[in-house]
Amino acid sequence: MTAQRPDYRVFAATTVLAAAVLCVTATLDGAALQAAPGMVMIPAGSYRPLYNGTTPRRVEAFEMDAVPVTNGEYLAFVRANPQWQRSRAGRLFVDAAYLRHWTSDLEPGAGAPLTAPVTAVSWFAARAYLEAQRKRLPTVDQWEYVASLRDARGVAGLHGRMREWTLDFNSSIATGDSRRDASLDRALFCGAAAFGLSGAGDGEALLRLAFRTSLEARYSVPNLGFRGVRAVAEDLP
Amino acid sequence: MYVAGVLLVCAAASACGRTGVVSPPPPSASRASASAHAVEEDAAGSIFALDVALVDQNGATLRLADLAGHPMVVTMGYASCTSVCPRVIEDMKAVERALGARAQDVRFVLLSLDAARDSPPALRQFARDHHLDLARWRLLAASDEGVRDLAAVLGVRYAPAASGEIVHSALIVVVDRSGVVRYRQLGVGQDPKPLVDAIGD
Repeated sequence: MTAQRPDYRVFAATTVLAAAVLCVTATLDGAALQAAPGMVMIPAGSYRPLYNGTTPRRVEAFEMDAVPVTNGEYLAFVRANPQWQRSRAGRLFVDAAYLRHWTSDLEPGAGAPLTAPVTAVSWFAARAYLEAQRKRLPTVDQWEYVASLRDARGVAGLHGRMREWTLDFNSSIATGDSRRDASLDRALFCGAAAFGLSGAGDGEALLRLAFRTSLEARYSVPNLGFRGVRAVAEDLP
Repeated sequence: MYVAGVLLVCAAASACGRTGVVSPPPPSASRASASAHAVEEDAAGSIFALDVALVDQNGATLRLADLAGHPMVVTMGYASCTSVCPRVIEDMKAVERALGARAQDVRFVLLSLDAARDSPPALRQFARDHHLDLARWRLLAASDEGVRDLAAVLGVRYAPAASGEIVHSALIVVVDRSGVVRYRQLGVGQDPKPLVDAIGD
């Protein structure tokens, strides 16, 4: 019998299989970086914002709360931090509508079910809550990036009636009369020539942008709540 | 797209509509009476409730509350800004001139939006370039987080642009000596009289 030549197909198949096993193992090692309870690991990626050029913006991996902060969670926070109770909160940081729908300082009441998202909280209040959790508000980039994902990986409530605070909501700047041009009115805003709508078509994102431009940090708004994010590195042992 | 344009025009109009008096002056400058009026009119309280670490053009460190005691004309901008910021400074200098002798008691404050580049030497150069009298002008820098908090309490909008510029609203804010915002003016090239009037006593 002649000596059999090495079967390169078997060799190739074995190599591919070995590589596949190694790839899967490597992926599992990466996925072994578990998100904190109640949070979802969002992988790095990019999305196309509505303004400031059409270049996609990169977002690093981070963890995001799966759902917005609830009345029950916020109640625990104001119990532990009485300076944020409705009757005591500083007037620089909240307006008169702060937690207006709650029955009292420490009673959400029938109008604010404990498992429903807390609303009518200012940007300052939301930040104070999240600081106590070692979290922060998502940036506009982080929030819009997750909203743009086809697979949000378990992050819920981004596409309903509710709006959410972002860390840099005041980077959303209203543009001028779009019939002439989409750039900012040069007498009102510095650097107006640098800005303008890219014309990307997402109507929902445009409505969110318009909403953000109307906000001030101390405002409490009935359909405006928040959730937290955390940088991935902070969870490493 | 036209509908979206209308929406943004409305949003812009509401933002621009924030020119004008925010709250009438309380009868006295004490914090107790200021907060009593705040409950009635939902005016924001003193900005000095916000604690921010600042560094001035000489490198001296201070906290926001250290600015109490003098009425202030405040803007947020940055030294390398070449678009509208110089015109904002000119508008503030017009207020300074219009005040005459009363300007002695008033402080003109630039809060930098550019934590990375507005070092004390950069701010001193800015003062020279614009002929600012440092007996009355304070040029102050804070950390990125401090800048965010200051912009939040003053209502300044800002966004770093790809070009390296910082796009921001051209806003002049009159703050009384106990830290309550009395007037906000959006846009440059306007009559200094409403700002002068808002400074009051």
